[in-house]
Amino acid sequence: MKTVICEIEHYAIHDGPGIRTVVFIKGCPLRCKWCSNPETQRRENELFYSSEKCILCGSCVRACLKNALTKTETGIKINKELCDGCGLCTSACPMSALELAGKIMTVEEVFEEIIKDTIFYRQSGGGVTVSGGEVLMNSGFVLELLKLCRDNYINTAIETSGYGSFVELKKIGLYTNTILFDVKHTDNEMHERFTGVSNKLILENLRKLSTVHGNIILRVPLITNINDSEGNIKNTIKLAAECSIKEIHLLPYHSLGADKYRRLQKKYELKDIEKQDKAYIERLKKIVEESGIKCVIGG
Amino acid sequence: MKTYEIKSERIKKLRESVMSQRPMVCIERARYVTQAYKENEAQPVYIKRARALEKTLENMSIYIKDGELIVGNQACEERTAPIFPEYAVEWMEKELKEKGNFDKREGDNFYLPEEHIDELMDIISYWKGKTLRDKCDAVMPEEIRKASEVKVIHGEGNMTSGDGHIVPDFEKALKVGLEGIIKEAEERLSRVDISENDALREKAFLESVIIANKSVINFAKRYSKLARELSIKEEDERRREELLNISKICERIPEKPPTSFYEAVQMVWFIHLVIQIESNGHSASLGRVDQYLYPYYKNDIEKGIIDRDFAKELLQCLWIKLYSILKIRPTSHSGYGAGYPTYQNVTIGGTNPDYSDAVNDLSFLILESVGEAKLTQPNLSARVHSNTSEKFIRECGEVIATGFGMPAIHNDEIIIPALLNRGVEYRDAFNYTMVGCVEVAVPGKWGYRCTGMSFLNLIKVFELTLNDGYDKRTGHTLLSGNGRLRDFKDYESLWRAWEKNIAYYTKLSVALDKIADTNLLEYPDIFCSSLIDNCIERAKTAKEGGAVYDIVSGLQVGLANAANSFAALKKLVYEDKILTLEEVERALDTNFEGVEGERIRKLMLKAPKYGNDIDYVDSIAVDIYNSYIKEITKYKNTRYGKGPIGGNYGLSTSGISSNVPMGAVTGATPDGRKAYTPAAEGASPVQGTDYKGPTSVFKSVTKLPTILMTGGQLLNIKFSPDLLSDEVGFEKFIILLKSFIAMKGWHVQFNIISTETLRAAQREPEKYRDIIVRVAGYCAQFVTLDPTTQEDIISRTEQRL
Repeated sequence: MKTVICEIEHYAIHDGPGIRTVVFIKGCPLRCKWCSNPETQRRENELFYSSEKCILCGSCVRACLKNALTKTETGIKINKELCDGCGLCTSACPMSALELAGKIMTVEEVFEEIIKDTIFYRQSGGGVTVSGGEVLMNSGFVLELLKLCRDNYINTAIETSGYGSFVELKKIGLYTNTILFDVKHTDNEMHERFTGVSNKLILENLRKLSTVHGNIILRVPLITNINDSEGNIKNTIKLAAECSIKEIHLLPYHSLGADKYRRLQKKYELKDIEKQDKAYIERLKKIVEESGIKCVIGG
Repeated sequence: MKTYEIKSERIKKLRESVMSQRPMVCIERARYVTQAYKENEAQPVYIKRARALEKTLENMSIYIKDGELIVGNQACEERTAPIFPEYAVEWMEKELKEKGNFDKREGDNFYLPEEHIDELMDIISYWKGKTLRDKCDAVMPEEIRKASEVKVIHGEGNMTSGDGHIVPDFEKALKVGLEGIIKEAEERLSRVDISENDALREKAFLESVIIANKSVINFAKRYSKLARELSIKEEDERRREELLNISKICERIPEKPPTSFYEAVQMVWFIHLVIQIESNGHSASLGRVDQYLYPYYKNDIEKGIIDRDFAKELLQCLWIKLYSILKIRPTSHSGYGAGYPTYQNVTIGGTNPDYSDAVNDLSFLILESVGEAKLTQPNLSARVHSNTSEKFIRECGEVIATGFGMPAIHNDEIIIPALLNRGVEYRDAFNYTMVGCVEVAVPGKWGYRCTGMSFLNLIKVFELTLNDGYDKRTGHTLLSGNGRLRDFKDYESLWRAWEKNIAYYTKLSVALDKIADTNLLEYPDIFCSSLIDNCIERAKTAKEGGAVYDIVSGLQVGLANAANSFAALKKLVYEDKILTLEEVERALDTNFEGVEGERIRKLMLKAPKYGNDIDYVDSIAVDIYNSYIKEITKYKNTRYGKGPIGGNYGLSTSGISSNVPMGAVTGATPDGRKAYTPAAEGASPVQGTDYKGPTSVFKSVTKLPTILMTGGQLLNIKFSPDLLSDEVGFEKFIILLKSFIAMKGWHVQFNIISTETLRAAQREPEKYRDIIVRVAGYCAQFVTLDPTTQEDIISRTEQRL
């Protein structure tokens, strides 16, 4: 079984217990405006284009079999409808100005990369975290990968938006030690406005999952003035309490992904947003802790 | 996380004084050594050397700075380098004639007061034709000279200086005092039968030991006298008391064994200082300070003689003294160790022979005192093992996290077995210490330079292999007849040519070693040898085979570039056939010129890179080492059969900053490295290619035959600051250290990238291409990121600090 993998990150320290390897799978049903990994959204492979490296030699345009690339005065324009992510242009480019966002890999190939860090998992109680994109959009692949990890006694975690089939989620849960479950907003209208989907299915899945899985951690990516109000955090706490969840991670806003939008020729709508100050995040943390739930900043 | 700040006002002042001192040159030593040589022309070389030391110690200017608790100076001022004319003078003459002084260098500048230039010129004219350098040149075979010019081998450092790289037996010296050493020499002298063949030589050596040790005792007494004189004039009552105490201490030690921690620290300094004055070799080290000073510390603390704060002040006074030591080297060699390094190592921690933890309260105090002092000396090393106390490893982590690269972490789990494998007795193996940066030795029992004499430039060997021995830069042809790149139709034929080349240049590097080793016999360090087992009993200097152990190692530089270059050719040319041999040749010859050159370079950069846990290329790095091991194990050093255990060679990647000059003479290589740019450092990956992060670097490095690298394995990791930005990050960093122990890595040093460095990288991206940071799920070279992302990363760094 194969899928498109954007990145396999070693020595990940904020995505579950211990030292972990995070597998970023491509494809996500949500379109969160703050997404810091926008290259993981579409399922198909696609191009990163760095105009500053480009010498406008046109090699890529000539190499493309789908006529997806056009040379303009300011750079290469990519037609996403036509581009099928074959990568011929990336080989033709002498400057590495074009690069594929992902790589097609088999379950075994991914596993081989994961198992390399066994000694660090053993020392730290770490393991693998399968992230996205959205794992539920690639549940077949994810399930096989997690089973293989389990067979080899590697601790497993997933990161999910919860948006997908509960049957699949439940199956995946059986092979997962820790589930990092994103709750981006408790208010449905806001959720829809900023992620493109309703939170109804997500919250329903969370409630159901919490009856069959005992180790769920809620994660809130804190986006300034969008979901970082005390009110939303209190609602999240309530939700956690209802689901007997004992840990919440607050992820402070950062704009590290902004440049990726430029290179994907996408618009980053949140570019003028400010970061929360440290004191405010500490206050939110305190609110969570006062409810008796463990809170970690940054996860 | 902890912060480390100097508490003592005295230390703040002394530190400021030494830090603000402009590096200078002092000619006093040169003056007195020259006089002594002239007065003792007819004497055996040992006596001549001992008299030279004696004359220097009797006459050089001494001072006691206000507030100092530990006294003793190397030259007329702090951070002032003495001249050692006996090793080499031509470079001084040339620099003075051409540039007028030593302060017009690109880095590591020194200033010689104008009024001393004439005298120095006189001294130079006496020494011309008599120096170590001259003697080496006189016997230098043509092929070695050419190979040195090509810089496929480099031994300049050992022909312009003494050996250094040694740890004397401090423990014994403290126990018996220098009077005990003298007594030992006298006793041995009484056993010399003057009718024996070697008797006159033995007698001269043992007499020189007595002269040298007495001169050290008298040197201390000069400070005793000076302190007493200063106390008379001193108005501050407290300082007067301090001076009187200094006077008392220097009257007693180093002649007699010390009775207190204070005396012991002062004695360690005197011994170390005189070794620094006796010879200009760098990396003279202090050994396991926390072990041999602990009994004194424990006693004084328990009896209430001193408190912990005062003990810390004494240690910090010692560190400031270490920092005050400076050596001046020819510019031709100074690039090999940039930034005024003197590599005075202090080792703490470790395991006892029963596998219990050797860490004690003094280990913590040393760690804390170095963390506060934040000086480039001492070079602090922490020995760790699977049974290291949690507290010690965490404190090491805390100091590392402050970001000045110390302590370096050394792993007993591999180093002890490595020593046992070389025939070191097990108690000695457990008692090893670091010397200089990453090399190991048994304190007081190991000859000079466990790290060896000569550099072998692997990346240059590779370039010569591709060009049938022809070196474009110098026009020399070295080993030829094995074909050039276009002749290597398959990987095997390329490899066979490499094996022939590595065999030849390994041989040359050993020959180069012997040129230095043989001629250094005429510049023996008497005092230093008297503190090395079994020099007195064998009546031999360490260089003559007096030491219990004598295993040295050359330094192999550019391993990662060579491995990556092989891998790129294997993959792109021989396997995937994307490039032809002719295309590669052209690209390398033109330094990747033009669009076509860029395209080829891009493909080469994308080939597998060492440091990312990719067997394809890591196994080539191992092959390279094995090809070297096959050759180097054939050779013996000049002490073989003369007494020491070993007498042979090991491996080492501790090439200090030689990767810069070694790269600066080497053309473009198939790993995508441009011509004349630096090679990779030590066993570390090529700068900026370790895109999978620290765990993968550890994995790659530990695939090398580490257990054979008794000359030291150097691994420098630039650590992205966001990985240490919070408690979670710190916890996982500690686990990373523990994993390193479990994986049996040899050495690792972390440079936590600071905000200032990142700012500098924004200004001068070319210089900082080796900084890798984490960006939203991936690693990237910092300098390639867009300004906004760079700013974001900098702001995260600032948050932590």
